[in-house]
Amino acid sequence: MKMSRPVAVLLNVYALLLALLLTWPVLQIILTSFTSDIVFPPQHWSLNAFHEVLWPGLFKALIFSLKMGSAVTILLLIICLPTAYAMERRRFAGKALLSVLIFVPIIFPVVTYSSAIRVYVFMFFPWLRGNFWLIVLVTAMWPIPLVVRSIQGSLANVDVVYEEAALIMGASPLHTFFKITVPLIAPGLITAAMIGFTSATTTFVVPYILGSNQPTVSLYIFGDVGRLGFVPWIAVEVLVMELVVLGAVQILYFVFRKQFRGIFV
Amino acid sequence: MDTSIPHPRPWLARNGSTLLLLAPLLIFMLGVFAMPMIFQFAFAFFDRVFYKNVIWIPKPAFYLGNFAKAFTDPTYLYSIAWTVGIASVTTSANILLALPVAYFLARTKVWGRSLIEISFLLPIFGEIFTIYALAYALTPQGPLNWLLLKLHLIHTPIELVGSSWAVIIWMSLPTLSVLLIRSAFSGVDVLYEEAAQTMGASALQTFFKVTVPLAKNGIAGAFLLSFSGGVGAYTLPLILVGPYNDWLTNKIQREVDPYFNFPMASALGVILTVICGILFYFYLRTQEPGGER
Repeated sequence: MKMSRPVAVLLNVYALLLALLLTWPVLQIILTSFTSDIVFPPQHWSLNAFHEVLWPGLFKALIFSLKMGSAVTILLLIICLPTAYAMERRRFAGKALLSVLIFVPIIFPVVTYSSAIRVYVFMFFPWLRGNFWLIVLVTAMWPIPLVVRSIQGSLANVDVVYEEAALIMGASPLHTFFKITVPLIAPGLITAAMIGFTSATTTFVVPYILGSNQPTVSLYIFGDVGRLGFVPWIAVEVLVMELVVLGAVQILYFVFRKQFRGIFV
Repeated sequence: MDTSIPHPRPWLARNGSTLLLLAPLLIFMLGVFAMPMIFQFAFAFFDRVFYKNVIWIPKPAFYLGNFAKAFTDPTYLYSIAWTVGIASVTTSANILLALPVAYFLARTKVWGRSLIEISFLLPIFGEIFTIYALAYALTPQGPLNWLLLKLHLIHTPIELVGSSWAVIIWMSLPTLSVLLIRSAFSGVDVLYEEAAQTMGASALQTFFKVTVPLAKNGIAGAFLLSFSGGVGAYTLPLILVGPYNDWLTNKIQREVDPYFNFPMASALGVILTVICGILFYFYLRTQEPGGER
């Protein structure tokens, strides 16, 4: 449908306004951390807030979060890579059903299954409460559909011919998979891993409800807010977390923009 | 020599490798998702007894009181109605706001496309940052109040942090739904729209009578995802409104954490799961006629 020029301009302005509104949080955090003040428009620039952050505690929490994110990412790849391969390359009964059921962790609220798991663990495995690996297992649930879809999307873009050629020439299926398929889908795989990694490092609900033994960075910041309210240096803590976690993803987004488009087909 | 028709290979030999590929997912989902959910369903029917006049402890039983309480006690009933009501309002607003921008992104050249696209992904992957940033943006001294004061819409700053309005407004903004609806619109052939227009339909008529019905499946998906996000909103009300808010998810957590009344928490959890399940069912119904996605 041809759009008249004023309508197109109007829609573009609307889209940009929406984008500004949605990126405002990032600007707001930067503004608050570099003015050490919560008044808008900013009166003066200052780095006071940076001096007030208790860095050792924050870094400890950040490192714990990164450790958890890495563990979740590895677990996600172990679960999702074979699943995506089967969904894209194999025919089996119930494939259509599975491709819908895979969205269950996103559709059912995280809080319900986390609290179900909390009660379940409390009743049957009380020694696992707050365990690192339990938190990792439960955190890995939410990103599964996104990761499977994104790997599936990049598999769909790779021609089967290469795999078949390798198989005909006598390579074993496993050899073919790791020598041919994995290198071909590497960009998609990295994107998928980054999706899992970000959502795992910044997760709040799962460690909060299950009660992690050691605070993740989001729990640490939440604890500070609970003690002190929204003081400016909370913004600095959030900014540091954002730089570490989202920074990497934003760079990767611009590098692998094409793969990102395939996630929500 | 054997000339008979070869038997089809047994089921396990044909599907064994596929099953092996799906095994990690199936084991994970059964162990970490299905088992706790089944037990949650069972716990929802537990009773409680007053142990030695000191503490309430859960007692295995088949007791419907938890569900009865959830639907008769005004606090719980209000909480259920509030959660579902707010989710429906915000989801509808969300979809309506998403439609024009999604269509625009799908059809025309856009100035600043990368910025626009990444801004829709930001709140999903950085939910926790967004929430803290909102807390700063919505203070009486913050930019929103500044803007409203400058525009002379209000005379005294409004206190948004701590009220439900902050949550409602933020949940109404479209994020993921734009991307989902955008890809649904991309799947609609321009030919249909052009045909409608040559036959004399106006632009708006074409959009609502041709494009939207053809992209119905994708829009239903966006509706489902944002509704379940709205019903399941937990961190946003917790941080922006405070721990004693009316959202059902926070009620569930409160039943577990300070009170350890897990039969009640399980009952509320089952109710929330059923709400999402019903919606999921309706979503699947809309998908059926189309077949492929």
